[in-house]
Amino acid sequence: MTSSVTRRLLAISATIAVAALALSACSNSPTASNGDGEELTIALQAGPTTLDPAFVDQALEYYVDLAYSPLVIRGSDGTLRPGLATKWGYVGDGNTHFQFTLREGVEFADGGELTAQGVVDHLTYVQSAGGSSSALIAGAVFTAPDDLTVDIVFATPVPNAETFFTQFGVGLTDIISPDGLADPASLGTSTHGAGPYVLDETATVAGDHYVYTPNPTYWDAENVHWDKVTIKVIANQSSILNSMKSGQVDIAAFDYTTAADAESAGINAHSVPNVFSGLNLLDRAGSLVPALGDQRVRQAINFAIDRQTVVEAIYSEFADPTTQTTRDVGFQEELDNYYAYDPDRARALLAEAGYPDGFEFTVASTPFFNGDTMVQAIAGQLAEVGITLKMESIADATEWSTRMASGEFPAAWIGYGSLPLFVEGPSLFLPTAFFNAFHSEDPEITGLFTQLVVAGPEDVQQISEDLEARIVDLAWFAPVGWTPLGYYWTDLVDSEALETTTGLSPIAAIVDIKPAD
Amino acid sequence: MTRLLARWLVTSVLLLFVVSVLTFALTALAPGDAARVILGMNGTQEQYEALRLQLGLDDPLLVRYWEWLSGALRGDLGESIFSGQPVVEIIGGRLGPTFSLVFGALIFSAVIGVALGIASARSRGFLSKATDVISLAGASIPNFWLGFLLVTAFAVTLPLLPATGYVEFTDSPSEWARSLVLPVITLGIGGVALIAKQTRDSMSRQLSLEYVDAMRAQGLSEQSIVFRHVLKNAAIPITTVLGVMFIGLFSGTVLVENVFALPGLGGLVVQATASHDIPVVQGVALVFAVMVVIANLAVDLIYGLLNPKARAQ
Repeated sequence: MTSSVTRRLLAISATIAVAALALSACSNSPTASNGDGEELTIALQAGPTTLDPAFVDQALEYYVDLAYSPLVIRGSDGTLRPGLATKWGYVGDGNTHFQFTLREGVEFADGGELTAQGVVDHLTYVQSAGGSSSALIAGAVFTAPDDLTVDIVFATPVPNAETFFTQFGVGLTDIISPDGLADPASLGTSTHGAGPYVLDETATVAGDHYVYTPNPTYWDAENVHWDKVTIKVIANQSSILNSMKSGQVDIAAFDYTTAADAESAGINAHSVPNVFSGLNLLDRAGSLVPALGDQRVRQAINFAIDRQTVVEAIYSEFADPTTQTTRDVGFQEELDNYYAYDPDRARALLAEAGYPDGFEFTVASTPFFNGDTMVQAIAGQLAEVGITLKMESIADATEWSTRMASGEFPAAWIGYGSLPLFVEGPSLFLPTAFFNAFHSEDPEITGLFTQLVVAGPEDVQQISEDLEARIVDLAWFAPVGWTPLGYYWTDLVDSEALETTTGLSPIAAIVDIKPAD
Repeated sequence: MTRLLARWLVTSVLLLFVVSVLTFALTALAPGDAARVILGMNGTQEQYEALRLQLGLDDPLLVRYWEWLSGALRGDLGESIFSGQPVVEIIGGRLGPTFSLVFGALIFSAVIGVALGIASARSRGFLSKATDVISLAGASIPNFWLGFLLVTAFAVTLPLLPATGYVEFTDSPSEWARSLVLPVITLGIGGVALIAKQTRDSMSRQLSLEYVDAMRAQGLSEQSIVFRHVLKNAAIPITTVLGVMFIGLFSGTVLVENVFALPGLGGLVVQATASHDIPVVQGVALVFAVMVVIANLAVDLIYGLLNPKARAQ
């Protein structure tokens, strides 16, 4: 009798296990790609807080790129080609007056027509909305002299302005329809673009997955390669890789921590060095830590870091050591040896500056993007020359950036994606830049920047190189390595668009991603 | 019963009020704000200040809390600062996965745990020792790690179940169940251990009492003794554990939803907290607090049903 009761109870457990197995045999996962190229599933680690292009961050641009079309398309290899605009260029000299000629006969998915006045209304909306793109066109004036011409007069000179109107500019260039602009509240949860796809609101669950279906009125129908595109939000990198292994996801962002596992599972990968990670030596006047006000001390910090060792320890073979802030025009290979590892030189510079026994300073760091690991590695190296680096780790990345910019810390970890120097200036090194918490100003940097933004194509290279060399020599930063950005993809996806990205153009154009043959 | 309900009502209202005040204060006082998140690193100080004003973030904390509270009392939890969607709507879309996960894990833990516990109490041999081992292992294994192990075994190596994702019951009941198998086991395994041990101990105590010998002497079947009498008497401490576990399962959903990419409340609250979307954080905290309140009432009512003395009190 006793054993019969026990058997019954164990049978209950066994029944549940069998039921689970039976369920597993029911069918394939409904989210898996079907393998015939009709459905594409992309995994991203974060969902957008809103789908309004004016507020979408560049790292999440696919959410809007699928449904909106840019004025200028930047291909995966970085080349530019016509989008909603067929021609563009400066009017006159001085890099302030820019003009677009729009494509004729373009219709938005919600029925409106593309007009120059519509583009002006869009730019005016983005400028006043206050999203991260708005600063790029602060003070600019937009006019529509005729139905297909858009004139932009920038408040200050902007070289290569077409860059702002590729996918790089997200909100600026993802033109919203007149109906969308008339109802801005709807932009957060629905799409109003002239892009290759339209958000399927009924099939979408905000924050979990976003489903896009082809836009029947898209102006370039030949480049609609999928019957359905789903972006799946999977915050955990290991879960993303498991989803790729089990066939639920076709494309995801490259992650060096899982690269070996991905390779052994036969998943394709391509990455390019793009984000410099290191220290931002903020207190360049020495108001909090007098030692940092001395250029020799900041250079000593740079000489004390064995970049090759740090980069290999943290990123394995997926990063390159550097001392520079850009890989765009102005980047010079020889500058990467400017602070070749030399602890004796570091000690000598410290002694010369009056700090033979070193000094102590605090660095605001964050676990985000491996900031803490990088700062800890640097701290170990600086200790060798007598400098004590105290790390204050701030878990929340937003809190970290707010406190970093407030002037509370003499130095901070920095992870900054390479941009053209004329774009880096206003956010990285000019006196009003977000990453210049103490508003440091160097007349030579300001002078070179002023020359750069009005320079003609023949002068840009030399001025950029002079500017980057000055930034490196002043040692306002202690960059350590270029960390990678890139993609994982399965064999169901054609490799071309994903393996041709470069350090200057690390994000593949969504319209270039095709099914494998 | 009336006194029980009145006491429950008073303590519940008090609890909900305290939770809402604490959540609001802690989120609002944390460094950074939604305006900074929206503007990103390109925003100027002027734009930042203008946006703070526009979003009402410059208003005194008490004014902002009162606005939220007066809306909440009317059933309006406000709108997300970012998407503009009503918070009630956002939370409504996330309840399904979280409730499926929590109730699934609760049922899984209860059924397997009670079954193992009874079997172990009756056999006292190998099964008893096995229950101890399972309890120790269940309590020791971090559930996110177990989740990855299960995914590797049953989604990658043997492609039987999905590695991530959730399917609505209304879209496909069978796919809904498949999407929950691994997450439910991951979340519920710790509970199995707890319930099994509690059931084993409680049953062993009851089985050693004289009334069990008396029933056997009267010729009652072993099945009837175990399931109709002993289990009923042993169920009170098990109910307590289930009540506590139910509340704990909600906090466990944050990690499990992350591992299996389930679109539930756990992921929502993490995302909303990181972006300082206070109305959403407040809404989710309120839902969790209401669950605690309901769980407490349910435990009290079950006590009453199982124990006439408690009912009389």
